[in-house]
Amino acid sequence: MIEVLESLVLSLADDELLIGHRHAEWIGLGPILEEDIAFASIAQDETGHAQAYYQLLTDIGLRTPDEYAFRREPSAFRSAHLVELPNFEYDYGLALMRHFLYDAAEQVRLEALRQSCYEPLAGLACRLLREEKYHWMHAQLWIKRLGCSTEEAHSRLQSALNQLLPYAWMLFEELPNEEEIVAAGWMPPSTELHRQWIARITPILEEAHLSLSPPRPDQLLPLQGARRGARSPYFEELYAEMTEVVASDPEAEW
Amino acid sequence: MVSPVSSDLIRQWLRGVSDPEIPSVSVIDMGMIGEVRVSGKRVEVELVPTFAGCPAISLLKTQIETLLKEKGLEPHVEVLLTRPWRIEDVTSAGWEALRRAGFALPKKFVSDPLEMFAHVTCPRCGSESVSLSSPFGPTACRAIFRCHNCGEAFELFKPPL
Repeated sequence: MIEVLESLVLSLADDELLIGHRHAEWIGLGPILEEDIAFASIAQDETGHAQAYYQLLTDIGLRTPDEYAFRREPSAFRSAHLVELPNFEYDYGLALMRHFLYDAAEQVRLEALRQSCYEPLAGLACRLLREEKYHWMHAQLWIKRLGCSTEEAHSRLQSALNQLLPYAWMLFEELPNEEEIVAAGWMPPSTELHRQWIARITPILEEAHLSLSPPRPDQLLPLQGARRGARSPYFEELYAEMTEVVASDPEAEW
Repeated sequence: MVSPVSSDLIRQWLRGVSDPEIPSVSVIDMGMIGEVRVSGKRVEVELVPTFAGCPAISLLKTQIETLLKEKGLEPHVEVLLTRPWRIEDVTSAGWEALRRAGFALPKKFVSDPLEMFAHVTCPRCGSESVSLSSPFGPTACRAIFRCHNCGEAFELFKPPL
């Protein structure tokens, strides 16, 4: 059962670690100073949240946060491909849309986890939800504001949504051993969280005049297996960068 | 075994430890210290960070450990992330120290960020004619405002809600 718990917590932690890294890539490149600060601050939060999730595993005798973050085989990661995607040409519409789709998912996930029968996870979820409120506020305000502004802003958000939706959909791919996770009362079924996520994003997208059409199966198929260790083509480069300092001196003490 | 020190004395010592970003407010007044248990030389201290991603956490942990070791004790500091930190945990002395440090402070018991940002007064001139420049600031617990009356920029101490 401990492996099942580990894989659940890693799916939460790895998403946070990688989105934190991707958000941090905006430092110095934000379209305005305030957004530079916003992405830097959110990135710092998400990275800290990843560490807090890893710590839950350390507390039950598994590996340390540093070992999970920096000394794992790529196939041992449980992140969704959405958070592995690079920032490509640094289109801010794309970055905001990923931030919005991901943070909506986090809201839904954390609200559910507050009721988790695994008490340390429920306690952590209560804490993180209070911190995440600012991320969610930031994401939805910008989507609404830009969606209702110029034609260019609207069309860039719409194309970002079309591009990212299949990836965001797969945040809710069924977890390995999900039956056991649900039976233990650790987390509700992914299909239920997915339903809540759609309900969360739909009114905001409508307000921003953005249309959501569910991804086709042929768009989802190549993205399958992320929670079982299938990494996206973008992971390798990201991981090499994340671990560059550690790799330079694996024995160093921090 | 008779303890050489009481937990109250340890709390007193911890008044000397603070986040380097807000040096005038001790971890005690910030409400960041949970239980303190003493058993002989062994001292267990619960540290409850404001934000989970705050980079000062490991520094504070080290500072507490160093302080207690210098007193000849064996410290075990547990960083508690499975419990939220609340602004209500800040003592009245802490509240006053934050104010003196130049922070605007939120009204207690708000849970909506927009509501909190809508009710801020300038800590320098007291004007309510202020606007939010950025909900995110130099640390997780700060938002940046500008006062239209005195023209100064200032920071709101921004708690997890």
